[in-house]
Amino acid sequence: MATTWRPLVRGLMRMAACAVVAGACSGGSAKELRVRRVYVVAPAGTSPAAMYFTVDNDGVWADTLISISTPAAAGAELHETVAQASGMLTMAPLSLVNVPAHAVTAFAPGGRHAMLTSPHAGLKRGDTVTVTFVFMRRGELRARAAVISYADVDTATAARPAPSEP
Amino acid sequence: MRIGSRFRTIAGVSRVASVVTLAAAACTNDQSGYIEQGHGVSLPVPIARPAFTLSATDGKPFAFGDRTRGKLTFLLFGYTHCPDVCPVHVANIAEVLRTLPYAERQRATLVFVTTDPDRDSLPVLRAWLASFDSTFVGLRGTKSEIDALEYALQIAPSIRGPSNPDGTYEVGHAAQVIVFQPDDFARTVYPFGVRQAEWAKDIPKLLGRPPTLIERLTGRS
Repeated sequence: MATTWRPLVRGLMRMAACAVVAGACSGGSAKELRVRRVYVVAPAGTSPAAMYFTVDNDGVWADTLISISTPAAAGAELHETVAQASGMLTMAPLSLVNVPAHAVTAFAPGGRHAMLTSPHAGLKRGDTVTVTFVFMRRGELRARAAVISYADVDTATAARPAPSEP
Repeated sequence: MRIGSRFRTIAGVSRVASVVTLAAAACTNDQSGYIEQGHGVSLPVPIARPAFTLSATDGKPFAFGDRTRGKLTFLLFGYTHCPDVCPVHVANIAEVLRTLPYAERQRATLVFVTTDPDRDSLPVLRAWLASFDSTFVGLRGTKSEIDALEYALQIAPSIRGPSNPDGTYEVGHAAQVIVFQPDDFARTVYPFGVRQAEWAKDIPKLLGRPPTLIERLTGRS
């Protein structure tokens, strides 16, 4: 999927980085940035849909998630649910999301999510949709998302750290 | 998400005592037998089932106190344009209620009060709830009615966020589920993040019986 040829200079820099951070590049061929566990939740009623996913950054460079798009919805916004001291939850838009190196960045219930505005009316559990993630360094990364129901969210993603991977 | 230290609001609550009667004595009135904390947050003082009336999705007034009396009642506030917290919370409860024996399922109900009456018309609310469970009750009132109710239940009043360029907006609201037990008192609230397995373990206790072996096993954690 989407093998973008990087400039030679960047490749050389990465090799140098490999030498410095021994073991950082597992085999040298592994994709440094990976998006997995991408789930679009079929919307309830006429509401916007939620999307959850996990970004693995095994590389030595941090990256930044700029935007998301999918043909299954008119728009996609990155949001964060924020708990206030009063026990109130509010939602704040995120313009850029830092994806640190050697880290897992999760978009999970009660934390960060993508809100899909005006999702296609036919979107239903069991469907698969394509999602394009745009990162500042990595560029475009496409992934397939499984459409699940809100009842599936509990097991598919996790409000708290997942007990096990699917 | 802190629910505790609400004692200072109790004086204010007495002003709406016609809506909610606080009963400290209920602490000692342990009829149900299985009301240990479970996966929720214990209230410092139990809340008596309130007697408010709002419009239900069938367009008729719904007297909460009379219509839900004696039932295990999950009361929560939210709005249907919320893609993350509200639907996950409601779906998790719906999924666990589905596993209850029929007679017990009849003794449980969920009431969702919209904090966004401008966008959540009664049909919108009905369609949204029906995607989880067609028996769930949706209630709508004016902003001041909802504020008074949230105040009486000792939770933060909802706030409408700033409008986005496309005219949409978010609504900040307390996300905990207040659980009234069959004896008409709420002793526990459940913050967002409670898993289905945890509900499966707690709901039998909230109904007043010990969990079965299967419920204990599926309610791992």
